[in-house]
Amino acid sequence: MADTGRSPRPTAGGVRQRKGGATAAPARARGGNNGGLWRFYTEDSTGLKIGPVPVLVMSLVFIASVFVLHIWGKFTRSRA
Amino acid sequence: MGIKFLEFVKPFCGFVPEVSKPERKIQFREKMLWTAITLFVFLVCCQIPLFGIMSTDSADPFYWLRVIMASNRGTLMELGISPIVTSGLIMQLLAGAKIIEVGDTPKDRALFNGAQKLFGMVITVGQAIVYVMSGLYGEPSEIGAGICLLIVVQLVIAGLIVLLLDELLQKGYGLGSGISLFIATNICETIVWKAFSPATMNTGRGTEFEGAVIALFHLLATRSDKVRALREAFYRQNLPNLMNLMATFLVFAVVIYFQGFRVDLPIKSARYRGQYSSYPIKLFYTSNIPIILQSALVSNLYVISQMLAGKFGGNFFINLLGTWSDNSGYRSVPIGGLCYYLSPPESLGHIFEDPLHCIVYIVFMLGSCAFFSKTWIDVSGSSAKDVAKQLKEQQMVMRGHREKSMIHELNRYIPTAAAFGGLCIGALSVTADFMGAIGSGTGILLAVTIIYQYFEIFVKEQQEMGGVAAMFF
Repeated sequence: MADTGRSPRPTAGGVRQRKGGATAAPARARGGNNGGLWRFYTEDSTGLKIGPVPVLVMSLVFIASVFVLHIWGKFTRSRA
Repeated sequence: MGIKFLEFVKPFCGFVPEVSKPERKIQFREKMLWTAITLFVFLVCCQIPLFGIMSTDSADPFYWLRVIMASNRGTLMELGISPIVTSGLIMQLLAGAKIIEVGDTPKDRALFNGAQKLFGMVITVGQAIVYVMSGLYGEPSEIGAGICLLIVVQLVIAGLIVLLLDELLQKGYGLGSGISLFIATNICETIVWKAFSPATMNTGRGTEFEGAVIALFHLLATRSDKVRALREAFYRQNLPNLMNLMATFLVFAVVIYFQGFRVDLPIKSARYRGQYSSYPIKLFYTSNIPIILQSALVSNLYVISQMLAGKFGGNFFINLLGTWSDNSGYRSVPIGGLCYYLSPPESLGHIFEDPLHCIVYIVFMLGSCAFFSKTWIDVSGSSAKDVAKQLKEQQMVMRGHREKSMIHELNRYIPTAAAFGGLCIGALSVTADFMGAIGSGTGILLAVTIIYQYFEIFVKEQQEMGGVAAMFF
């Protein structure tokens, strides 16, 4: 049944014949998604770009500041 | 409305922070390092209590959310990943109902992601304010406006950090995604704790250990009647017992077995004669996404219902949504209304007491999982059309099919696999609940599928690196 959709033009794969790649890697396309809830298309996204290290620093600074808040809280409460 | 919504959101997306894509290839060891760091930050955040809270000893209204949302009460991870998941859920539903139209172009999808993230941040702020104002941490008037604001700020920043950490992993600096890593960690923690917890409880028949395995040895050692001690260890009702533990492992095994089910479609290279390969379509095509979305839907419903019941209990419509009882102490249990029918039955015996509850629950679970699975393939870019395009880029064609009929042929399998896979996931989760698996049916299912995904990632990396030794040294 599948051969009924016969079209005169060749498949796109046959038209494009690049000579670059020596061996065509076997198509190991992944089935489904890779577990993330989001897929990212970074080429076109419009966000405030930051690197991974700033993210790490930011989270550590945040954790540290909450620590400081706790200590400060203890300090002022004992005085009052 | 249509496409206009995304256009409307576009200017705001510029303010959403985003992790830039790695410019070079990240080595496996570096990926492991980033993954470990992310996990470390998450676990630390799970332990640090929020600054400024007065009390957290009322019945926990978010008990049902905790496992799935990787959140911990009274800590910086109070919200966990729930804003991300909730925003994902709502956007999915909107896109599935064609209220927001998402085009096929990468630009459209990028915009959709941006909107999803922005929405996630808005939800974080909203949830933080609601949590504080509803008096979850003590009466707002007692805490004072300044401290209230401080709690909200802490929750919002923590939410932002989770969002960025998730993106950090997904963009290729680490393995898998933050959401799945956090969920799996949380659930595995629960299972290990329930099995080996050294906490003791007074049950009325003497002190018993909470952990199932520890309790077995303790009971065997202390009770004189060994047969009764064994029975107690296997079937005790109020604390985790060995049957629960065994059910957990059984579900683990079954899900891993099902992961191998797939249809291999034969494909061949359009360029080189004689190069054959196959494209696998797995039964669990959408993996754990339907369960995540389904539990996000239900837990949000629970939270809303509990809040409403607390404020305006007795109203007919609110009671229709759900009535709650605080009898079991640390959590509220739905005892009537819609929420009751959507909650898992407590035990096997309960099925015979209230068969209607059981039937409604099963139908809802299976239906919603299948539905979410089907809508997910369209928005996530794994529908037949996308797969056909992907194969075309790799210059592969299906054996005996032209390009046009390829989509048609893929369409025969993919939506079916998605819907049926979702159905199976739902059924497994229901079974796990009935058997009393530790960490709830959905929880355990999430954990297994995530661990399997990580296993697959490891295998893939290993193939690229050539051997286990090359990965680490």
